[in-house]
Amino acid sequence: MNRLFSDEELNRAASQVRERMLDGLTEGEGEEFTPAFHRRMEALMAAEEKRQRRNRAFRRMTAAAAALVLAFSTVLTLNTEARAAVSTWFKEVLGNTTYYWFTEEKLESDEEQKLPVYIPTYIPEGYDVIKEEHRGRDYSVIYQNGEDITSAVAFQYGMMDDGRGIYVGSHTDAFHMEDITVNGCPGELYVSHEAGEAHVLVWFDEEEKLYFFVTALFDTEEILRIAESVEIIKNN
Amino acid sequence: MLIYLSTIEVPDDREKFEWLYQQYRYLMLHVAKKLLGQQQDAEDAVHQAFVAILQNLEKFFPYDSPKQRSLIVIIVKRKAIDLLRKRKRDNWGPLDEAVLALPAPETGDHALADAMARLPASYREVLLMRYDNGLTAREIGKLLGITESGVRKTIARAKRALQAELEKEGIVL
Repeated sequence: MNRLFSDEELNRAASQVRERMLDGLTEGEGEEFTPAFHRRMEALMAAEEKRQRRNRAFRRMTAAAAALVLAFSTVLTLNTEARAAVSTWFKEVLGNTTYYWFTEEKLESDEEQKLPVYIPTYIPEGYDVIKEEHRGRDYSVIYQNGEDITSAVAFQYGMMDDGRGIYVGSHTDAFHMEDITVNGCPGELYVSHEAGEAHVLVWFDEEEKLYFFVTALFDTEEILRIAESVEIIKNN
Repeated sequence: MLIYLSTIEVPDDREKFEWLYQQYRYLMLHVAKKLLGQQQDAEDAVHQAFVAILQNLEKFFPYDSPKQRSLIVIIVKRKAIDLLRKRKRDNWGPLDEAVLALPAPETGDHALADAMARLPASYREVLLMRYDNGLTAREIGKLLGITESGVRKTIARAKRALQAELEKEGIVL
């Protein structure tokens, strides 16, 4: 009786049952909610927004404290004037999602730094850019080898502006995280344990106030090689 | 790709929740109405389900996927059954989940999946949350409003029921 099942067997069976369950469901077209329900949901969202405002205030407070500690230790170490601006990050882990929050000590006189241009100078042979996107304070590019979508490599970077953040998440527990450095910058490598799932490398250049990440399906050494090849092309 | 990265622009959570609300509310109402019949009752179940989603927002993502869709269907079903259970307790007596209107998944040609599909909904769904959605007992408990130890017991019972189901069919894996 106690043979029971391996996790892999149960994962596979559960996935098949889920597919069958969803096949038997319609989308709910034609359903309507009453005005009373809409009012309840609006109240729920308003309460949540209030809670989030409190959380953001707390986060800013924590961020300010972190920046203060960093600025203080810099003065002690270098025995020079406090730096004009310092960016750093701290993280929160909630379930399988890691949030990296950025904090910055900024002087009133500081002008907003423009996003410089970085690219990986190494990408495996046969790869072409298939998508490129500038989104204000972030830039991302996806490379792919021919039509094979499983070959895709994504590179993204952006400004570690105060109060912004990034997150790395997974639907499953099937990964582990390793501390790494990329060209002297601290980073974290998320190694997926499931075939067909991507690895993610995220690292932070605190001096330049930039975060970077590379994600791909292929082996982590190749991902690290791409990361280490990232160079500045133009300083805006 | 299951592992992903995205930038967060405050207020991210509000946007995520609104996305989930817009995306799944009618499906949720449909599921709840099948179980409860009445519009008002079904709306109560959907509301309870959204409260649970909001309290566990980190487990959800602002894009549609079969796993997330299934998780949301299970949550609203369990909230609807909680309501039914409460009303039965208040008025008529115990609830027989077997008579609930939502059909069990069809069986196919995979022995373990077939046996899982035949399990009572309360067993089947907690197995889906654990093994398809990858949630821990604690996370399942938070979403369904039950204790972690209660979830562990249900998972253990569900596995035993699965084993018995296979043995009944004379199947050895």
